[in-house]
Amino acid sequence: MEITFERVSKQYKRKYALKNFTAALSEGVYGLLGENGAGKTTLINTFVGILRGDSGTIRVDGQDVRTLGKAFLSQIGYMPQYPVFYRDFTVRDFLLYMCALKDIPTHDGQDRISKLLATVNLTDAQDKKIGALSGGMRQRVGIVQAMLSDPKILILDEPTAGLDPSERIRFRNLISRFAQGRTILLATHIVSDVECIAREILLLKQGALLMQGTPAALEQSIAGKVWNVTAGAEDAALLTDLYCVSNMKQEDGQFTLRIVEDGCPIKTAQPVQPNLEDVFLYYLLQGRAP
Amino acid sequence: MIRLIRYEFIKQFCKRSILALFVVFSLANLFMIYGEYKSYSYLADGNGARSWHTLHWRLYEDYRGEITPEKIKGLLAVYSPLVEATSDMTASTATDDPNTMTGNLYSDRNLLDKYFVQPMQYSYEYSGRSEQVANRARQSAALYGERGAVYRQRESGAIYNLYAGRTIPAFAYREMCNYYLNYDFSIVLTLLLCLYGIIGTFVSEQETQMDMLLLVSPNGGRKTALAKILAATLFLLLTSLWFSLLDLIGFAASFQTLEGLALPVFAIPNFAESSVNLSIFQYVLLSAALKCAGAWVMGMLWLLVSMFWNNALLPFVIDFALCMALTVSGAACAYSNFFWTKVLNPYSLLTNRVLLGKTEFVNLGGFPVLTWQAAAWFALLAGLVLAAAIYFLSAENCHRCVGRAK
Repeated sequence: MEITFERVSKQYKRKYALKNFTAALSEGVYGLLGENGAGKTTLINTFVGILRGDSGTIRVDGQDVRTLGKAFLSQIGYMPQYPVFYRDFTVRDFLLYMCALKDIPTHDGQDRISKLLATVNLTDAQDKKIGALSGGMRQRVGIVQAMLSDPKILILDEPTAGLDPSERIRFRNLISRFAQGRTILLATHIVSDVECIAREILLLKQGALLMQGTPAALEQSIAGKVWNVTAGAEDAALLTDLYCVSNMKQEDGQFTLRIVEDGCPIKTAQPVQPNLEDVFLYYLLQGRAP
Repeated sequence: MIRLIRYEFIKQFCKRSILALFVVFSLANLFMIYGEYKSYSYLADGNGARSWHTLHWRLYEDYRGEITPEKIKGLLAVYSPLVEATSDMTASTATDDPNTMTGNLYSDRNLLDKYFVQPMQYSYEYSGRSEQVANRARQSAALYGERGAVYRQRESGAIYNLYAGRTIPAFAYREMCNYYLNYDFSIVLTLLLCLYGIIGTFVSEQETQMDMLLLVSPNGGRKTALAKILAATLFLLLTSLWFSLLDLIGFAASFQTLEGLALPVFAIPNFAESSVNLSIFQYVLLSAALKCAGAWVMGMLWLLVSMFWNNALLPFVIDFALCMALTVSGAACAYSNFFWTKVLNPYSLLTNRVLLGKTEFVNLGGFPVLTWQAAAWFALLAGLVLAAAIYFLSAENCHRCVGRAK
């Protein structure tokens, strides 16, 4: 499945939420990375048809999504930001309701629900009320409902928001599992969510696509611009004021700083291998051009 | 679609709070009805040998059924001496007089007067009175015809058709029916319950943030909006029907009888000028249907208002204010000559005894239409327009989502 965005723009009160967004996606996990307010949710809402873009086209396998109507929606699995769902429904009843919404016959839906609940390890919780579930369990219910129709495209909007580390890891593994044979667009501002599982990262800033590439390619793009510096407390404070510090560690009264900077910040600085967080800082927070 | 309606119904109306309110309101209604019986019925004086209750039902066996000269003669043979004995107000006021039925002469007279003589007299004389009305209507129709007042001629003709041949051939206990037909408290409960249930139909999707998920589901847009409208309609109809049924059960249980339901509705004095020639039981069915129509229009109006808000409080206040405005204006105009205000106000369908108890017409294209019929047609039309508006405006959900997406 090929998804192409061609110069998609969307404005709110003359301010661009999306500006000439152009990208091409195929099978695999795509991490949509940007700060809060970068336009991630607007892009997703425009893609799924909740919002109408001001200009540009979005095509799936060459066909404009606006002409596909219900056929397009049946290919989509969507998990919204902070899903609350219906507190008084049991997990299974809620999923059966989602089957009705997705036009899945009850019998097929029952089978599919049982399989998916087993996959996400929620079989024991199927008769629990949604209001009684933990945040992580609710997120897993969220991904099950998104997967009910076995969609070709899975859209996850900030799926790990509010989860503890173990749930976050569990959720990341689930996404990897579901990635086979489908396109997953995962919007987040948490770098570690996509670092290991994304085939490509789309860096979004103020509605515009800054870069698209594999995590390795993005890291390579700032090779030689990440430095390790060891300094005393006073110097460390000074360096923090002067440069973009992605990490700071204290050991035996000495500070080890990880600085993202085009040139060598001080003589004793050692160049190190960049990671995706450094890329995020370099392009999105420092506002450097790719 | 049936699946969607079922889930919408469960989702919106099978909540614990609504079910609890249902139970509480139903109990409150039953207590209220029992209170009416205890407060206003003279027969609520227990089952003692000399109680009105016991004596009434014993005497009733003698006079119930077809009104015949023999029964009237028999009744007057007992009643006339009592009137004679008590007319100068010098009879004994003792309450343990062994020569009386109830223990007191005045009490005997009152029992017979209230429960037998007056009702039988009213029933006996009613056909003559209605014949007079029919004759006058026929004469008026002829007069208007001569003067070319076509509408007035038609109106008089309609009155003639309605009143000609009206008769109350039988005598039956009618107190229960009288109180039942004039009882309004359950309307308040119906409205409050409907308002509470309806208000969350769209708002809850905003509060649970399910609106976005609905919009990206193949059946989540207009189809779900339609399912919501139909589920809400079902809820409104069931609630309205339930309280109509509960009223009947409550009154029947409190008064311990269903007597009188076969009488024509104009056998109840308040309904002497009724616009329908139905038995009381048929009237009960028609009244329940009209209440359903009124509740449906009100419900659709509330639903339309509520769909533009993200939380329930403000639309609840607005909808409650709307309800009060319709109720107050409906009550203020109930006995006025502004017939159109009754026709256009759905509240008049809820308290439909005003529409059904009086013969009033509105002019529709030169034809006289009874106010209850016009109100029912208007309610159907208004309800459909409101439902269509909700259906088509459900796309507005997108705009609310946009607000949050930003």
